[in-house]
Amino acid sequence: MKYSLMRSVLIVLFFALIHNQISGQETERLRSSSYDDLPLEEVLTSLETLYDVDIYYRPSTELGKNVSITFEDMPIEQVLEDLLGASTLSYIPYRDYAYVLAPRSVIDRSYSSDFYTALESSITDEGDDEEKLIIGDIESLDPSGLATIRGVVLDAQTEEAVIGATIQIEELSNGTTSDVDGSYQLDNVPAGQHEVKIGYIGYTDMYQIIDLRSSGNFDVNLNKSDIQLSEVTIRARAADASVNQAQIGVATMSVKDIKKLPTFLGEVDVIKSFLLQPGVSTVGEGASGFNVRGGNVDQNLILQDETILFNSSHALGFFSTFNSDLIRKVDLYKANVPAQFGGRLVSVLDVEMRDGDYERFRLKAGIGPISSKIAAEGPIVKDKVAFVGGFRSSYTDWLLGQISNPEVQRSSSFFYDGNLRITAKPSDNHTFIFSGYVSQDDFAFNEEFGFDYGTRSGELTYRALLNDKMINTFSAVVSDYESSQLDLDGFDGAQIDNNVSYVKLKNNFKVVPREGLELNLGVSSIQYNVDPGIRTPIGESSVIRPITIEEERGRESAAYADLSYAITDALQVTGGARFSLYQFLGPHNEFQYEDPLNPTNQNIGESILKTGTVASFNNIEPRVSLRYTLGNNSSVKAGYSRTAQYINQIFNTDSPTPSSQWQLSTRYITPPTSQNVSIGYFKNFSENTWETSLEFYGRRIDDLFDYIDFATLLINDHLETDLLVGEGRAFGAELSIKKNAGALTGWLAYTYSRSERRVDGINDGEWYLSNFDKTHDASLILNYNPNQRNTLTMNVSYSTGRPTTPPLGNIITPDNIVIPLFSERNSSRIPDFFRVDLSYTIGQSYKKEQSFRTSWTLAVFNVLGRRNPFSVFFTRAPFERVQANRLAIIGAAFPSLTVNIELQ
Amino acid sequence: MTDFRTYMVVVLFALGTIACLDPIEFEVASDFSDSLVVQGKIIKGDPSFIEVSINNLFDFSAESRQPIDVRRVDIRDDMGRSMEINPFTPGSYFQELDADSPLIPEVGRSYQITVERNNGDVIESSLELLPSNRPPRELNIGTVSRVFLSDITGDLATEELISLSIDTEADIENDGGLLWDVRSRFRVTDSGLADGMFRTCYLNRKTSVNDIHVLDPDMFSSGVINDVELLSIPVSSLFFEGYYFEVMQYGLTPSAFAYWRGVDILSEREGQPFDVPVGEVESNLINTTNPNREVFGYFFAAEEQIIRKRIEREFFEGVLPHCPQPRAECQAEGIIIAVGCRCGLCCDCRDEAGSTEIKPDFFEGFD
Repeated sequence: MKYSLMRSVLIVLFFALIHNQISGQETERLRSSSYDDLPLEEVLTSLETLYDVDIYYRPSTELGKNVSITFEDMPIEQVLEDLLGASTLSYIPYRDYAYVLAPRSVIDRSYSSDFYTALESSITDEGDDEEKLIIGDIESLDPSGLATIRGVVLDAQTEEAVIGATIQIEELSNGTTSDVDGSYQLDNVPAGQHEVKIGYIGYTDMYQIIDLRSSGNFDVNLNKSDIQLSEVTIRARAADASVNQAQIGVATMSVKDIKKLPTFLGEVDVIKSFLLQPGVSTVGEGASGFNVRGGNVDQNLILQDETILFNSSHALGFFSTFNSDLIRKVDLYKANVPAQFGGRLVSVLDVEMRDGDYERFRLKAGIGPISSKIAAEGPIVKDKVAFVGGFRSSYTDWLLGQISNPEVQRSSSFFYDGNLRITAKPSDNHTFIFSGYVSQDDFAFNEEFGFDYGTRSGELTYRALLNDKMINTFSAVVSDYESSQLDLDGFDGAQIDNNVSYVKLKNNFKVVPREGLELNLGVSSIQYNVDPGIRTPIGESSVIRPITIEEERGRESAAYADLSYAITDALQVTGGARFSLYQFLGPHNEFQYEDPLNPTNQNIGESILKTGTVASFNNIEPRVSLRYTLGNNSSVKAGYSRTAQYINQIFNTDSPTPSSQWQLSTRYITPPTSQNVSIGYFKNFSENTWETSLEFYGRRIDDLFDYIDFATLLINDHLETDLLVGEGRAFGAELSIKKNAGALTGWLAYTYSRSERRVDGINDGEWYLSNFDKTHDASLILNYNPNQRNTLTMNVSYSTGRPTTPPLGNIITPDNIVIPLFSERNSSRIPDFFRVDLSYTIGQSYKKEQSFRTSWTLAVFNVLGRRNPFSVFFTRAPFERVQANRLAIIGAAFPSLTVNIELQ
Repeated sequence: MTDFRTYMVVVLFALGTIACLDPIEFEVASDFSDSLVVQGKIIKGDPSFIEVSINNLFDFSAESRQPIDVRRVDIRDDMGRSMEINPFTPGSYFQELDADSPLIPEVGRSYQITVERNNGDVIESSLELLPSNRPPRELNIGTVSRVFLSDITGDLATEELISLSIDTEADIENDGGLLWDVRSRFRVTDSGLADGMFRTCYLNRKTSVNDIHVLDPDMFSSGVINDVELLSIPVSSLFFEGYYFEVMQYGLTPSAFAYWRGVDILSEREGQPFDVPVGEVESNLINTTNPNREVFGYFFAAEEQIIRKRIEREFFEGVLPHCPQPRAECQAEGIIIAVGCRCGLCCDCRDEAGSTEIKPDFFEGFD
């Protein structure tokens, strides 16, 4: 009868009872009775009444078996022994009023005193004390009572590994140091409560009380020593990182925060989450990519570890390709990009994947309305080699099949992505990492046309701790992005393919010669091979002319040095320089123009085959960021950087398509360069509960290109004739107010900005707004966590409508064809954007080591059902007024329910 | 970009998302009251003709164009021959060109128009070559189904359409392209209830006013290009008494092709994320008196090849006959017209746009 009440905690209580069995029985009660061929469970229930005791047990088949027993003036212990003698069960008395039944094999095991101490502790404290960090769970504790603590020690500001940090439990005289990855392992720690001290030169010692219940993880973020904290909270980043971090213009989001946000159709999306940060926007719902501080989407370097992703979108832009279960951290450098990154003008989205668990297997799964995902991790060789892998696949294909329309049923659409990462640590000083990544989208309509695109990449990294002050990291990446567009129908049936692949080698040498000084030196080289376009006729009736645009090759090499130095306690500088050298390589047929500075269709001449280095460009790219601490938990920061971009995506649509080719810089398409300045004031209040910042930025881009009207961008072997070169500028102010602690957390982000271009041949050479200019952009995110199990999140977004080009007049031909006239590019704006999203997650467990966990997320995207325009376009019938029309991509409220399951 | 647009419709629907299209009010500031639009073409055909229309550019929200009469309109060729073009209707200048004309269009010759305004401004076109044009081979009529999102039910629906395609021959060495003008030639008979006259009218209309049809032969490996889709239209009562597709094919120079390709792109836009962006179609006319005054429109020279095909009954079984629109004055008086929808009271097929009682030579209707 008791199991229904107690089964959830029985195992814990059971162990506690073992601990107390030594106390024995104070009195002995003798009873008489007889049971004939009754189920064991029924007999036990009767015995409870007879002896006035409680008997605890788990449900099992044994309890259903019929038993017979007759006894006279016998103590209950004797009755139970007789009753259970032939079964697999045994019993343990607890004080003088309870007995626990359990498998004999368990009861017969021997347990150490440390084990019992931990068990007692775990019963009396369920972990609600936030000051105490619970590690592991009591069910997994080894009978020896000893456990292993593993984790990673990171710099709270840079999130770089801290090598050689000491992790100690002083009361036990037990300690270790972190290795080349910042990883550590503390063995033979008795279960129970301990105070762990983590320290390193130049960092403030950190103390954390832990309640160790079994082996488990404890990751630590250490703060530099100039930061004094009255208390420590375990978080993804330091509490006052926004004030003390020297780098300006960095947006960091934890995966945990990302997962809380309301999502479109339940898909947790790294990139869409960053749209809620100040200075980050998109041209519209469902659009691919993101715009940072007035930059174009191709001006963002998207890195998954060291792998450059040329398309990070599924379903043309509705979802991003990152599997959030496999990510360790995500940083977006909006302004001052560290010198080790290069090749893009505006920003770097640095997605760092995490290692697998070296000790035990874990399994995660998520089921959503349009896709499901699974992730697994665990040791291959315990404590030496671990893997983590994940796979996500949509079932939009199946959904299409449910639509009762023959054409749609003959269509297919799906996407998937997969990651595998294997990390090997043959010794404390050496780490090898292999990562593989695949992403694919496919669509076909009614066997008439379709497209597909995908990325495949592999990465190998070797890290060596040369001594306690130097780390060398070498990485090699091979990657390939392919896109195909098919039209299977008729005279112009064709397949158009394009492709960009590269081999990237990078070596980074990190030195920490002394406290407050850190140096990164490195070299990198990327060899690009680009197939701009191959058109192949498809079908017997197709007379389309096959064309292969000549393959292009380019090499982008760089050497860089980056320094982080605390000049004084208040003044810290990070900065350095990157020297980049780009070579466009032959053999290549280069068109000759009468005016090479102004290549047009009208002055195009013959092409000449060139070999060797056909064109070469180099740039010195300084990057500097200063932070001056003002006291009162506030600081001023400023930064300057220069960047260059040697490969650009060619598109003039609002959002790039998968077929939008990547174009290497050539003699005629010269690399754009950008100069960026930022200055900001940062202040935290109430012991970092409130974070505020106000940043101003400006950017100037030279050799920026735009497109002639009605440009031909696909299958064009002289693309330069469809481009116009000019300049760009962007400036703005970003305000951020964030609340980090308490039941109600969240942030308000507001951006005032302007992004403009000036190109000869467009708008009479005057400045005009870029497609992604938004004067006002604001987001409010509120998370309400009344307890660990429940999270309610609301997201409110507003932005000024983006620019559009309206018709200023119309021509009607004698045949009544209406020809709209457009003159000033982007001279008007579409209506403003406003959206409210909600999500509620229930079932999150604070017991990290619980073996089976589920959570449910109910989200409503666009709660108000507002029809936010993606675009405005104009229609006209003869003799009728021109009508403006609004196209809303997501014009209704979209509820979704997602289930997440975790096994370990 | 059609692929991506259809993707948006189909996949968004599969995802449960419905892309919405709504009319909205949109303010656009513009001042084009004094801007001039000149559109002209000289056509070598049967018959050959020159046509020029002149009107003010109107604001995008205005409801009609404003024709402009000018002092004179002239055309000249590269041999120095010229002639004045006669006014036809307000703002419209038209003249058939025959052997007796001082100037007749010839393949390989170039032509230029000059417009002299009453205020003294002179507008000139560039000298436009009249390129050769091979005759089309065949018109093909069939049926095709189209998936669309129903405004009424919100569901994906399929509609059957009558499709028209052309087999043609193009000069793939020519850098220019082909332009097709698709017209509907059909017959309508009055009920006789209006005035006792059972008139039969033959109508000539542009089939789909916002459809532009251009082809870039440079994309193809063969000059013989079959089954080029021109348009798809719903089954209509206009078919009932006989309906011909009439396709005029024009060969264009590269600059004329660029103009019409631009017009084609603008007419295809649907506001989707992957629409080709708008642009300014470039005119080849200039105000030589005052170059700062922009002139819109285009003048081109082309050889016209005509091909026709009738829609057979099998494509429109069960369709009712077409009812000519009632006269406006009848509508104003509230007279209800339809009587079995043959043609009711107060109808006169002569009132229909593009109507004539003269039977075209090629026309064979259904009895």
